[in-house]
Amino acid sequence: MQQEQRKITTESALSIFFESQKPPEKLSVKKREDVPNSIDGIEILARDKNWKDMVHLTLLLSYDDLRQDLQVKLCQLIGLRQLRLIEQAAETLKKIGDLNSATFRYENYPQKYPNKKGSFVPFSLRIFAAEFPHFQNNTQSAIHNLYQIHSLCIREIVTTKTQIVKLGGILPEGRNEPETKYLNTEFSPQKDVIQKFSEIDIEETFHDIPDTLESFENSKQAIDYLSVLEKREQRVLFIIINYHIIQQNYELAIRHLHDIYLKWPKDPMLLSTLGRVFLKSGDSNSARLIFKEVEKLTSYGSLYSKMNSGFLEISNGKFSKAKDFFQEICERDPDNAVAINNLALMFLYTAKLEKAITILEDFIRKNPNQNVHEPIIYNLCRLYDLAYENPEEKREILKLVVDHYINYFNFPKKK
Amino acid sequence: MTNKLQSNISKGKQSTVVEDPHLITVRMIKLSTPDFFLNFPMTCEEPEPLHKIFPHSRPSTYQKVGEMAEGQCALGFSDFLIFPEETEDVYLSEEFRCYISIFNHSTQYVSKLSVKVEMRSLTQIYNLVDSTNKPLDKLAPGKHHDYLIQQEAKKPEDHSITCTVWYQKLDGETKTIKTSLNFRVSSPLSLETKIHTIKTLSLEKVFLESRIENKTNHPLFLENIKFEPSAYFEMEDLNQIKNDGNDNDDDNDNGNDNDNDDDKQKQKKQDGTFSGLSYLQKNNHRQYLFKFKPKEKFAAKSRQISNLGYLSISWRTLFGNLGHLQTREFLRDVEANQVIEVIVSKIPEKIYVEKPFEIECEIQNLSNQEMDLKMIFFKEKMKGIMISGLSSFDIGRVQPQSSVKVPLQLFPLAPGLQNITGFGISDIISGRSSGIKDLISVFVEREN
Repeated sequence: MQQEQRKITTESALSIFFESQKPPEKLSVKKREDVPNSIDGIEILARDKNWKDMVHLTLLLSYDDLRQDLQVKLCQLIGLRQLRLIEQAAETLKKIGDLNSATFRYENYPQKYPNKKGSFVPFSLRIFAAEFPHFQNNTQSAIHNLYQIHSLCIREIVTTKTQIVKLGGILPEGRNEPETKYLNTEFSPQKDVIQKFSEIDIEETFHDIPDTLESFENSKQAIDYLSVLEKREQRVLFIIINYHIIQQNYELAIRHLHDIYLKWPKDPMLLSTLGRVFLKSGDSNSARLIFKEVEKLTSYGSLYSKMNSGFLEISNGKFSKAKDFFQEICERDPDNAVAINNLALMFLYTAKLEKAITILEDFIRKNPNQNVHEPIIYNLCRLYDLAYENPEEKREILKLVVDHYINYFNFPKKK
Repeated sequence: MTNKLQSNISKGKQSTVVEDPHLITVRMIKLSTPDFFLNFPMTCEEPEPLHKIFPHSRPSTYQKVGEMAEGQCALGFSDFLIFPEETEDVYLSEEFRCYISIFNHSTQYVSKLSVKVEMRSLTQIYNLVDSTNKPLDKLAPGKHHDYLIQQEAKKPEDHSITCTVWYQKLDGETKTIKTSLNFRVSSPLSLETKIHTIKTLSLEKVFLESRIENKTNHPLFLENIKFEPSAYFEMEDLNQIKNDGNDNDDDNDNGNDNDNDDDKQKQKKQDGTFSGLSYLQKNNHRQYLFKFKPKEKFAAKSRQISNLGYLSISWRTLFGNLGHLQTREFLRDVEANQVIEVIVSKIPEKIYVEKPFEIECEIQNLSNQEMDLKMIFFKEKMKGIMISGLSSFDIGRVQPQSSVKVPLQLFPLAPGLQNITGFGISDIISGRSSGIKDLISVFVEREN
C-alpha cells in the first residue's frame, strides 16, 4: 500500500482564495451598489481592490465621448488582468479594434475638437495592448510591440526638443543634445525598428494629453510635454527590461538599465537593480563593483548597502552573514517587507525552518491589510509544504491569509 | 504486527521505508539558491482614472529600500527573494544543497534522536551528518529538528542521499526511519574537439578547435575559458581580436609597451571574438580556436609528442554560483617512432580542375640509418586528385637526418577542397614502409 504524500500546494492555496472571491467581513470594502455609476465609482472599487465588481461596473457604463469610453475600457482591461481572465480581456481588445485607426484621432472630430491633432488613445492602453501577447504565451511579440512604442517615444522626444529650441527655450539640464546619439548607438537592439520608424510620417505621434495643442504656444508647454514623454520612454523601457529578464536575455536587460542610468545618474535604486540583474545572471564580480558605487551614492545608503551586502553574502554561500545584514535592516526599519521576507528565507538557509515561518506569520498578523505581499505568501506556502504533513494544519494557517483581501498573484511557473 | 509500507523509488523524489506508526516524519528537498521575485506591475499615468492606484514613479522617489516591489514602478524586478523553483536538474561542480526536516507530529516527546546522512554514488560515499555519538536529548511535540547539507556534485552519475533517523519513544522502544532522495548529476556543457595539423618545412602548427554547448536550461556566465598547454608547446589564443591590426601569426607580439597588464587584459577582454557580456544561452554553443607551436627545445621531437594540454572552463549561474570543468588532456594522432616524413615544399597558388599541376615534396629520413626509398601510389585510395605518371618509382638513397626533394605530377578530377592522399613510401633496406594518409588539402577551382 502506498503512503500518499499529502500536502497543499501553492495552486491549492490560490484556489481556496479564488473560490471565496468575496471581501472579508473584517474589511469594509465597497461593492458595486455602494458606488456611483461613473468613472469615480470605478476608482473607488479599484482602491478597495474589488476587481470583480469594478469589471461589472465598466460593462454597465457607456459614453458617447469616445475618449471617456476608452478610459473605461482601459479600466475594464486592468480589472480583467487582475482577475487573470485573459480570454475576456482578449475579447475586449478585439472590440476596441485597431488603436492606430482614424476613429481614435482628434482630426476625425473637427467640430468637437477644433484645431486639435493626434491620437487620444490612453498611453497605458497602448502599453496594455502591446504587452498582451505575453499573457497569451507569445512573449516575443510583446517585446517587439514594446520596442515599436519605445521608438515612437524617442521620435516624439526628438521633435519636441526641436520645438523647444525653435521656441527659444532651453532644454532641461543635462539633456541639451537631441537624442540622435541614442538612436544611432551600436548597441541599440531596436536599431532595425528605429530604421523602419524613420519612414513613418512625423504626424504619427501621441498628442493624447487632453489639452495638448497642435503646436506649443510657448517653450514651457513643450518642456512640460517633454517631461511626460521622458517618463513614458522610461516606463516602456522598464517593461521591456522585465521581459528580457524573464526570457533570460540578461545582456539586453543590463544594456537598457545601464542606458537609463546614464540618463538619470546617481539613482541608487536603479544602480542597485542593475547590480541585482548582474547577480541573477551570474556575474557576481560586476555586481560587487556596482554595489560599491551604490555605497558611495546614498545618504540613506546604509540600508541600501546592507541589503546589497546581504545579496553578496548569498553569492558567497554565506547565508548566516546575509541573515545578519537583513536582520540589521529589520531592526532599523521593522516595517520593511523586503528585509523581513529575505531574513525569513535566510533562516531557512541556516536550517531554522520554524523561525522562518514564525517571522513571516508575525509580519502578516501585524498588519494584514498592508503586509500581505505576493512573494511573502508564496514563500510561506512553500515553507508550509516543507514543514507540515497534515493539510488541515496548513489550511487553518492559510485561512488567516485568505481572510484578508489580497491582490492577484503572479507566482513563478513551476515545471 | 508491523505493517510495512513502501513507496516507489523514482528519480528526484523522496521515498520512505517506514514501520508503523511513527511519531516523526522526515522531509527532504533539494534546495537551490533563492531567486529574485519578478512581477509585471500595472502602471498608469495622469489623467487615466487609475493613475493613483497604479502610479509610475521614478525609482529615485523611493525613500525606503524595498518599496519598488510594491508595483509602484514599471520595473518589476524586485529585491524580494523567493523560494527556489523545484527542479530535478543537478549539474556537475554545482553545490548540491538538501534540506532535511525532522518533525515530531505526535503529542509525545521523542528522545535520543540521532541522525545519519550519507550521499552515495556509483564510485563514492560521503558521510555528511553523523550525530549517533551525540544524539539529541528530546524533540518536543510539534517541533522541528533540521539540517541543511551541502556537497559539491563531482561526478556525472546517479546519486542518492539517505537519511536514517533513530529515536526512542516514551515507553523506551527504539524506532528507525529511513528516507532517501535520488538525483542524477549531469554535465552542464558538452564539448566537441577537432585537432588539425599543418606541416611546413620550417614548422609544424597544430590547431585545436573546441565547440562548447550549454546543455542546461538557463544561461551560463562564462567567466573563463583557458587552455593550459603541455610543457612541449607554446599556445596562442586565437579568440582575441588584436586592435593594432597585427597578423595573428606574429608569435612575439608584445603589444604597446606603455600599457600595464590590467589594461591589456581589459583590452583583450573587450576585443574578444565574443564581444560584449559573456553569456552562453541555453542550447547555444560557441567555437574556440587555439594554435600550438612546439617549443624550440622540443622542436626535433615534437612530431612524436601527442599531448597538447587541457582546457579549463569556469562559469557562474544564479547569484554567482561557480562551476568549473577541467577536461582530460587532448592528444593528437602521432605516429610513434616515425622515421619517414613527407612535407610539401612547393605548391602552385592556383589549381584548376582537369589541369595538371606539379608539387614538390621533401622526404625526410628521421632515422639514424641510410634509407633506399621507393614511392608507390594506390589509385583506389586517391579520390579527387590522381597521380599523373608512373604509379611507383624509386626515390633513391637518403642519408640519415637528411632529405630529398621529389616533384610529383598530379591531376585534379573534381573542384572543391581535395586531399592529396593515397600513397606510401617504403625503405628497401629495412623493409619499413609508411602510408601517407593526407599529405595536404588543396582547393581546386573551376577555370572561367
